[in-house]
Amino acid sequence: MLDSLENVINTYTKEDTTYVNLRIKFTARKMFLTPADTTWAAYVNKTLDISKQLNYPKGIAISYNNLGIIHHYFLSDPLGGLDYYQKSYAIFDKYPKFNTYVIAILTNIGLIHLEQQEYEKALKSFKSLLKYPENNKKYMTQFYIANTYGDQKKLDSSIYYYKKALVGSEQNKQLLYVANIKTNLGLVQTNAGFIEEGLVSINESLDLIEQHNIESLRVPAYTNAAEIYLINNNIEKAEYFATSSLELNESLNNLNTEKSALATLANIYTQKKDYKNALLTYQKHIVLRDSLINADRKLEIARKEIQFEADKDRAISQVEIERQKSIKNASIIGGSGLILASIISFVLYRRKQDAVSKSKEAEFNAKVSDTELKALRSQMNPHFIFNSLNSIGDYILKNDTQSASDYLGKFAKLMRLTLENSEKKEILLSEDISLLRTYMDIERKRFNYKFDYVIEIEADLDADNILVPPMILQPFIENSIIHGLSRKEELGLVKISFKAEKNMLICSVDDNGVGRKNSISNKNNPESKSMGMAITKSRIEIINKLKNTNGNVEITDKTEGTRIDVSLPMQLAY
Amino acid sequence: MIKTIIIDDETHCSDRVLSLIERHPKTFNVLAVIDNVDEALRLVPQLQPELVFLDIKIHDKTGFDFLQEIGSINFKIIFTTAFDNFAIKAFKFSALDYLLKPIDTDDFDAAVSRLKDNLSKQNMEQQLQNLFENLKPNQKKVITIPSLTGFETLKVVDIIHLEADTSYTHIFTKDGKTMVSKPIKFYEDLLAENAFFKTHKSHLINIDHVKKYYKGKQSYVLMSNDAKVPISVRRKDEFLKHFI
Repeated sequence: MLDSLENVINTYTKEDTTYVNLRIKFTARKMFLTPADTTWAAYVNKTLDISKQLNYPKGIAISYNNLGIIHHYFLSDPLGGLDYYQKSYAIFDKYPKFNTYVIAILTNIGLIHLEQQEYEKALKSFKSLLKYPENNKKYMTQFYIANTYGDQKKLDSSIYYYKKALVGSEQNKQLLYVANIKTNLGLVQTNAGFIEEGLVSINESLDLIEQHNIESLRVPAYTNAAEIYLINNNIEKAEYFATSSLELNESLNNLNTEKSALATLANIYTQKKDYKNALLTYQKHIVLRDSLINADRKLEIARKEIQFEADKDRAISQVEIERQKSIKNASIIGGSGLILASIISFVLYRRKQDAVSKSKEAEFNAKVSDTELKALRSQMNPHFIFNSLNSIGDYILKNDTQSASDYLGKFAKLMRLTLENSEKKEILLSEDISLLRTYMDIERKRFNYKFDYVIEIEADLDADNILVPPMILQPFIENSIIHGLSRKEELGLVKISFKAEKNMLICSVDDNGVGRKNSISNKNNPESKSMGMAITKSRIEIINKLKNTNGNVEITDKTEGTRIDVSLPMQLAY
Repeated sequence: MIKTIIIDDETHCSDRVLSLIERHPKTFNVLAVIDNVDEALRLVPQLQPELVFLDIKIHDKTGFDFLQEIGSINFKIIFTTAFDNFAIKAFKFSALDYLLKPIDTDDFDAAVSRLKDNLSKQNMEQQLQNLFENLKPNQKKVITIPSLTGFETLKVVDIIHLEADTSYTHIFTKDGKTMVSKPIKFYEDLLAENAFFKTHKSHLINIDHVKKYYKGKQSYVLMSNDAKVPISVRRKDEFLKHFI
């Protein structure tokens, strides 16, 4: 049948309206079967050109509509789609006999606005649909309106339209819609404070899904159920539905529902005081949420991510608990975003969308890491500054102005170099070594030459061609000096060495100090020295994430002193 | 003994220079410490110093004002400044010595030993002329190259490429090549904003002089003087970005 239509088109010689109609018919039949076929846009464009030459409004308008569909659903370019829909709508609107088309177009326009969170525009499109007598699925329109109000947190209006939609869909025996509406209604009712009604709605929806095996609704219904039970403080059931939703979603890979389920799960963990998992889950949620919304909000989230990353290793202090609370509130709002906007189940579209989202997600992750890298490094500088200022203050107190003045000169030089390098992700090993020398010279002076240092570079390493993150060893050297050597009676020694091992650069700091166990500061305050260490570890983690390597830090307690080995991916400059 | 004058409007800065000078006994003979340009213009020709430590900001005038008004300059200059990127760039381009405040002891000592090496070498007129060229905004930059016989001036736009040779660098222009005893890294940093690109560990090229690009396992470029310069694998993508 399709082939015969294709034959007719292929053998048709005249470019008239009949030809246009044949092409339109062919498009309508076949386009949705092969959405991945990238030649559709060209085909439809040709139909459009012929229609324009013939001055045939129906052909032009339908072609615009088709281009809208191609952009909206096949190419995941909703805004491009919107332009075409609007062109199509402008033509159709003049001819009442095309009202069925107008309904489809306005629905799509409304959906795009809804996705883009342009709620007022979405409502305008949807509401105008209710005026068309040809609209025989008004319950569908009401459902969309209810979803829009729900997203806007206008819960009363949302409930009002869901109930209207429910009446219509029940009359028309549209089970799928009934279940879908109840899924969403339950959540909105719960959020609006109608706790009991909410439970009734979601359970009715879950029953319908079980009875009729409505698989397409299972994941969103579970997601909403988890959130509803959470608000009802039924943590056990909430966790059951959240994890079930995530499990089922693994094969479906719908990022939107996954996002909501993760938010709920994070809240569940918070309730259970399992902060570590709460944080992990929330971070996953954030990444997903971000990949689903536009670029402006990305930065905001990136900032949040960094905040979390920075706090991750700290004990759960009061501040952290406060923040967790604020996460909870934020994600109750975030999580209640209604999931089931498009029941017309554009699986194809979603798949495409998910692929696009994933690449955006990866891109975003890289960006987050980049920012983090900068943020972390910026923490190094104050650390430095205050230690050195302390030393200068010390000299002044001891009335040793000459030393204070000398020290200041060195310190200024180091600051200049550090500031210059802080903008760089990587510097040459040779530069880094000279930076470390300046640093150690300062520290030697500060500690009255209580220690010596040596720097060894393996013979076949070319320090002028190896790139390293600036001052990655500095916190370890600082620890060696301050905690290991400064407390030692005899002259201490820090040995810094660089060597290659497989595809890694091993950078080591080896001291003959008192060791970690005997360090007084360690005994009194186990947290005190971990700051620089934690920053370095995070920096290495990020490098690993960015470069897909497995660099790490290894600490060895020797009989006398401590040894640190930092392995980094071997990076050559040229 | 080097006959020395310090020009700086802030006492703590000139005191710092004095205390650093004290570390080099029998090297300096400080004739005067001057804190304003007018007095400097009056005293310097009288006292005939061999060396001037010159601050850049002196009240509402600058050390450059002093140099331009003094006319003939038959003394060495070491500029002292806190932080002025623009001026520092110009010093580097003109191969003039400078110290950043607060002055580091080692840096000071290094400047002293450079001074001792160069004291007898020709006057600074050419270097200063280059400095004033480089200080003009939007001016085509010129670079001063210390050579065995003195100093040579090159226009940056005329430099085609540079090649490292251990701690020396060969600089190629259309007129031939010059060897300087500075590592290529020095020029890489200096010329970074001027369309220069490091294609290889030992090669720095002027992008504007690239004639042809040959791709392949070992890609290279042909420069305007027909020299072939290799592009290392790791630098290729970055290099090609300059031509998109």
